[in-house]
Amino acid sequence: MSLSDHVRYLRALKGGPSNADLQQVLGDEDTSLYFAIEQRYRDVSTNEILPKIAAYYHVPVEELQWHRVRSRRALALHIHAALQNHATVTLRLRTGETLMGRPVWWDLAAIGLQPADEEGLIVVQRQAVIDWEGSEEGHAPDRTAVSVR
Amino acid sequence: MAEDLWKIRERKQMSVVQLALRSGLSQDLIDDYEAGKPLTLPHRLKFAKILYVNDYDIKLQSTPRPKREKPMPPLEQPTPPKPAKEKPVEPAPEPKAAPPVRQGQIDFLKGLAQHLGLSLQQMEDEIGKPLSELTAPEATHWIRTFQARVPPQPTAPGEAKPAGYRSRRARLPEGIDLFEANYLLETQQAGAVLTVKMFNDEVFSGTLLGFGPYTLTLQTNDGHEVTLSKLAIAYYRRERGAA
Repeated sequence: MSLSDHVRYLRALKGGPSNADLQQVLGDEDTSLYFAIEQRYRDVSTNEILPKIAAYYHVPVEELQWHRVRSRRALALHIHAALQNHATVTLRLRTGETLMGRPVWWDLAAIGLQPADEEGLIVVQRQAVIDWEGSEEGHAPDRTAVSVR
Repeated sequence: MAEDLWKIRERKQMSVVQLALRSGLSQDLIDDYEAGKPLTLPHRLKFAKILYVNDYDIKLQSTPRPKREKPMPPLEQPTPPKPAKEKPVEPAPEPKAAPPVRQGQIDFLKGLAQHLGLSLQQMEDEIGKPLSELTAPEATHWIRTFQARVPPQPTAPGEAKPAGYRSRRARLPEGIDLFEANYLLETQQAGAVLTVKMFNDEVFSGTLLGFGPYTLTLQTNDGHEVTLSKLAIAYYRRERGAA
């Protein structure tokens, strides 16, 4: 899961603080950067802002750094390469499940995964993919199965 | 980064009067905001919409605009007489000297020399003078000249680029948001049952009534409608044997 998705997830867990709430804590400039981090496809975070975000959400900075190297772009490239090579990918989800299958398509929001032992597609939401085989070494923080609905 | 209201307004080439008309707020109030009065959130949202920016791009409290160094002439002062229609014939201005080379151009030329395997001396010999003595137009000319010598990069091992090829950023299917929408549309049209697994392990199953970029609406087996935020969905699939 990218830092963008993770920060958005943390914001949801905190009850969805508004822009103004964030602005009071982070200040004008950092709030703009914060929202850029949430919205951008690539990682645009800086070393300076990570401790501030971590303090705000009461999570270790390392957790944010872990997600930082798993950008949406990195996942997209991984899926795209598998799609080109008809290869199987292994996706670890925030639910704690691990799904294996061959990507049939992918787009901005989701990945159409064809499991080897099933007929139909599983449509995996991008933000649910916490880690994947081939991402950098490391273990995902234990933050599974928390409702944000 | 958040900016002062007046900076954004001026960048958007909008006057206070125009902003006042569009927002329905008084000019005095906008002047006050631009002078440092804290913005109310509804007014900031209003300005953001009018100025086509995000609300958090506008500072909650603008820094007052720095005063002009030269004071405006007093109103009482008579305006200078307008020049007569027939202007005196002025002598043709002398051609301006070309501006000197910019540091960026020098750096670029040095990079090109390195790329082409030339020493700086070899490049300067060919140009006929030291890089620092070039004018900006001359530097542009030499940049083009040396750039033309850079061999084209192959697109794939062993494959040459076609003539006139210009490198572009990779276009990924990410730019198209249709695959998931198509899948959902097929599911909806087929009246198939969709099973949705949420982040919190809850599972919803039902016929897809509708969907948007951010939500799915299902009619569950007991006849209830439930709208699920996609952000909270882990994955979904059509039920086996569905049409």
